[in-house]
Order: sequence, then C-alpha cells, then structure tokens
Amino acid sequence: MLHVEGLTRRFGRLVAVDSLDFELQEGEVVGLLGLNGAGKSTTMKLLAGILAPHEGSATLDGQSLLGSNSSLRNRVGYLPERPPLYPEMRVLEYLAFASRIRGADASRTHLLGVLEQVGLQGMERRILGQLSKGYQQRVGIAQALVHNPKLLILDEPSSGLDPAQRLEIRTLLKGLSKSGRTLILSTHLLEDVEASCERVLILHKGSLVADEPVNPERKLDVRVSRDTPSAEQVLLELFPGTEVVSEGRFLLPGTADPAEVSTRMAPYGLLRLAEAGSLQERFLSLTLRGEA
Amino acid sequence: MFSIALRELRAYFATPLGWISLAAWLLVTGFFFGWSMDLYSTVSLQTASNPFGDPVDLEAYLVTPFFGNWAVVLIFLCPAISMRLFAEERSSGSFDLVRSSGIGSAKLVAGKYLGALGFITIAFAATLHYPIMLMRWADPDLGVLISCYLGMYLLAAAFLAVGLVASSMTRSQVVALLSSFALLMVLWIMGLGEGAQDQGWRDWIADVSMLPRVQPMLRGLIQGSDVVYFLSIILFLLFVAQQRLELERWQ
Repeated sequence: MLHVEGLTRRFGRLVAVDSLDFELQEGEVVGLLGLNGAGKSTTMKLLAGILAPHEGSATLDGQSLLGSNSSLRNRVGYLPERPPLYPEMRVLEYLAFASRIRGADASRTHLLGVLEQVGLQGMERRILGQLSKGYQQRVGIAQALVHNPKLLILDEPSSGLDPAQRLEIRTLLKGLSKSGRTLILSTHLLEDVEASCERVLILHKGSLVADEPVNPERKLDVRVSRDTPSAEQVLLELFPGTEVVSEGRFLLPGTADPAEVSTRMAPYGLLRLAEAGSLQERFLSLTLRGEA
Repeated sequence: MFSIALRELRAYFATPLGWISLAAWLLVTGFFFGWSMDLYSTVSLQTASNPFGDPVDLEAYLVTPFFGNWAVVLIFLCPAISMRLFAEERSSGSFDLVRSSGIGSAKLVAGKYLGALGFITIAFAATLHYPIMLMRWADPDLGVLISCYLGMYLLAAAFLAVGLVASSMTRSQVVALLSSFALLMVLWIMGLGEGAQDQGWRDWIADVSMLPRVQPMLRGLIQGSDVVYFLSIILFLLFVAQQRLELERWQ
C-alpha cells in the first residue's frame, strides 16, 4: 500500500533522512522510533506533504505521495507533534473547517460521528483554546480522521500529557489500531508502541536501523536463590519453552505473565524478574551504539 | 480557498485585534473628517466675506484632503491586519493543518489575502456614513467620492499584499508588522520625492511609488494605467508570497 524508496531530506549540510526504504501493508500498525533528531518528524512531514524530499519517492497505492495532488493528500491524515489548532474556534467549527479544506464531508452528522470516535461527544461547542491538553490532542486526532484517510500518521500523540491523559490517548490509539487503517505512530513511549503496533521501524541519525516485529525475542529473565531444581520443575511445567541459563537463572517465553511468575517464584527467593530482548533493550542497543 | 478566506475573516472578529483595529480606524478617520470639515468651513467663511471670491470647491477643500489622509492611517492599519496571516499560523503550529490538507500554495495565499481584504472591505464600509452625511448636507460630486474610495481601496489592497509577503517570510508577528511597516514607510517617503528636480529621479519615483498613483483618483480621475498598476503590484506580491511558501517545502 505505502511504498517508500530512497527517501532523503537534507537541511543545509545535515542529512535529516537518509535513503529511507520501507513498505507498509493495508491495515498495518507501525511504530516509528528514534532518539530526538533521528528524523522521525521529518519523515512524517515528508509523507504528509509538508516538506518536499530531495531524493527518493513515496507512493500510496502506486501514486506519488510527494506532490501536491490534493485527492491523494485526502487519503492521508496527519497529526503533528503539536496539535494544529486555532484556539479561537469551537470544536465542531474547527472540524468543519478541517473537512472543508480537504473537500470532505462537513455535515454535522459526520462530524459528530468523528467526535464520538475520539471520545469528544458533547464537546462540540467548546472553544479549543480552553480545552485541556488531552482534549486538544483528541481534537488533533479528530482532524486527522475527519476525511476518513487510508493512512494515518500520528507524531507523538502523547507528548506533553499527564499520566491519566496518556492512558486515555493509549486507549484511543488501541481503538484506532483496530480500525483497519494503516497507521504510523511516532512516540518516545515504548509502551504505546508495544500496546498498539505490530511492527517497529527504528531510525538513527536519519537512517533506518531496524524494521522488525515488536518484541520478536522478548523473554523474562528470572533469578532465584533457593531450591533451584524444584523451581526449574515448576517453571518448565507452567511455561513450556523455559530455558535454563545457569543454576538459578531462567529465560521464560515472552508470553509468561510477570505477575504470575512473581507469585510462583516467591517461595524460591526471587532475586530478579526483568524483561530480556524487550523493545526497550533492542531500541537502546541500536540507538545508543557508539553514542557513549 | 473560500473556506480559508472565511476563517481568516472570522478570526479577526474572534480576537481583540479586529475590533481594536476597526475602532482605531473609525476614530482616526472620524478625526480627519472633522478636521476636513473644519478646514472647509474656515475657507468658506473667508470666501464669504470676500464679495469677489469664487465659491469654495467642496472636493478640493474637504473630500480630497479627507481621503488623502487615509493613506497615512492605512500605513499603520494594513500591517496590523496582515501581520498574523502566516506568522501566527507558523508560531501556533496550525499551519501544518493547511499544509497537509493538499490545498495548493496559490489557493492558500489567495484565501488568506481575500480574508484580510474582506476585513478592509468591512472597515471601508463602516465609513460610508461620512459620504452619506456629505450628501445630506452638501452637494458633493458622487464621481469624485467613488473615485476616492476606489483609490484608497486599491492602495489598501496593495499595502495588504506587502504585509502578506512580510508575514510569509517569518514566524514572528512583530517582525512581520515592523518589516511591512518599514517597507510602506519607505514607499511613503519615496512618494514625497515626487517633486524632485531631477527628471530621471522623478520618473523612477513615479514608476515604483504607489502614492503618486492615487493622487489622480483623489481628484476624481480614474486612469486605467493606475488601476492596472495596482492590480499588477498586488498580483506580483501574491506571487512572491506563493513562491516563498513553495520554497519553504524545499529549504
């Protein structure tokens, strides 16, 4: 569906995005990760048509996404890092404007449907500048959805939110990931990616350093201090596939529930229960390589 | 394009900027109207006491000075109106919405410009009570009044286009305001050099300065060349703003 080939963008001498190649299938939910300055936002702006690439191409169903083809642009929804709001406008008025400039359906029924989708029902008369950050973010997501795009690009939708608001947005993202749209999600919150995405693209200094499923090798690293043969027997019985690394140390399959492991291993003197091969570990190993 | 224009126009009245600008405009034009009336009555009284004096020309002593002063007010008003057009959107982040919507930069520039022009149209319409009063109590030449309005409207439209270009260059409204104001001041000062002794200098000023082009219209003379001049300037400036937006995608 989305085919990106050799996408390159420079800012003066700095190569912000360097020969990016990847493909996304219809309905795929992909996390775009990277440290600050890795090129995530630039990549998203290129796909959203805000910036023009210096080299390379991006096609959506075979048609170039990089020109100013408005009918094609209407198939892409984009939420920038900072929601693109007009503070003096009311929620419904703003969505109607966002819809009209894309030539999409701006009927009240349709707009109310979009508001319901992002959990903003009953807030259509509220003034944007007076909404909380969490609600502003939801309005930002609503404008990206208002024209029913095939490809949805969300740049740090949880940025600057408090823990409760983050949880709300994560729930919303989970819902969107099941909506059948192709979704690219950029975030620093790896839990959001783990909860919503099937695949992850990791950028480092403008280059794609990993394109793989989320947590392909996730395991639980367990260490106990007492009666290790007995503990081994319990673990093998409960979690088939458990590996014995050394005396008192085991690697459990990623499907194992940490809470259950903790309860079961407590009598054996649980010393350590940590994720190994997790997204965080993988991300840090790829992006902090050579940084120190 | 019209959605953009309508949003811009509404935005002026959703914030204090629009109301304050409109109030200041009416206050200052009201002052100039009173001042022109005063000038006209003084000259009329002096002439009335002279048995050999000609009747005082209403257009020369009231209408032309009144509208002539509008140019000074517009130098302040137009940058205040146009400064926010692009600069505010850039600084607030809302520019990403229109840029990612697929709307072309030409339509975007035209929409923004029409919104600002809509505001100026309302500001001009709010001054219609001055000519109505004149027609109620005197006998002004309607053609001259229309010509003055046209001249000032074209001048305001050109000033707005200057401000639009300034706003397209920056994300700071203050920078947009000051740079367009400075540019308009330069054009104003150049207009004062119309009486220069040197013929070449005079010709050059006549070619580039906007103010000398308005003078015939203030006397009731609408020349096609002056109208075409203003329309060309406006189109050129809108083209510059459009190119600036295109360049921004590549820079």
